[in-house]
Amino acid sequence: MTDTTSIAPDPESWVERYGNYLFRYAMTFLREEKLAEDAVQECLLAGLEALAKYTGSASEKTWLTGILKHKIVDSVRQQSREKPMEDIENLADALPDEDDLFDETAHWSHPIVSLDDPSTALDNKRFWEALDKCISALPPKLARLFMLRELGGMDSENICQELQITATNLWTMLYRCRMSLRQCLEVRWLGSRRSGDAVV
Amino acid sequence: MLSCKDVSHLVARSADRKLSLTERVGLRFHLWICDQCRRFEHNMALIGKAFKQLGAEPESLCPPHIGLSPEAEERLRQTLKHHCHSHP
Repeated sequence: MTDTTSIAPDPESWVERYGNYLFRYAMTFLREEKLAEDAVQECLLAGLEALAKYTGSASEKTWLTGILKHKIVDSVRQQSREKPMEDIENLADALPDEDDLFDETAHWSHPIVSLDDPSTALDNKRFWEALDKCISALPPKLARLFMLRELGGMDSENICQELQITATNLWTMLYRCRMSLRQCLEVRWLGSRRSGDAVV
Repeated sequence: MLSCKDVSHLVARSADRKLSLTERVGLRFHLWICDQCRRFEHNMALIGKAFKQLGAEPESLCPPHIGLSPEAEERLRQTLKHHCHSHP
């Protein structure tokens, strides 16, 4: 039995069949176990409520993933409401800003090393490890915002609306996240390539 | 003539919106003459490509050792069971 066959949904088996997958999916975006578990719970309960609407046109797994995405956005929104957004904007101050990156003549103040494309499966694995570690090094709230944009494919306009931040602030935060990730990868990814082992 | 700082903004911005013709021309010209910015652009493109590649399977970024703990699994099972019975 594959999950593409259209069968009656079986909520009793959801945790066993999709629990771990949904949790890992949520962890990728939310980056905290408690938040991820809550999102999965919300997702399963919402799935239960919406059972009557499940038509079987998508697999159960795809259908639940769709619900989970909404719950992930809800969670990020809730996190940002609980503490005001100024807070998140201050968080961006912890990341490298332009004064660290550029000298007074607006030239790069540090040499930039070219990152190699991961070319083998092992390379790929190391690259994802490095990327994940670098994302984890961002302040969690910023990481969540960044992931919604980069991996969730949410557009900036939607994020601003959902999180009640201005386009300029979002832009500044994303810019700093991108700069910080790049710097971190230049160290970790290149480091892991040179030593043949991941930098911990 | 754009500075490296301007270029870093344009490159990062190009992930969010389409650049204007003037911006694109300025950017290309600067990249043509500046090795540092060329490497910068290359690195940013690589990161962008990585996220795109993850696209449909974002969970593959999650390290393999991360998963639902048995306790959490049991909690979810109980919650679901409880609700299944209240919404038969």
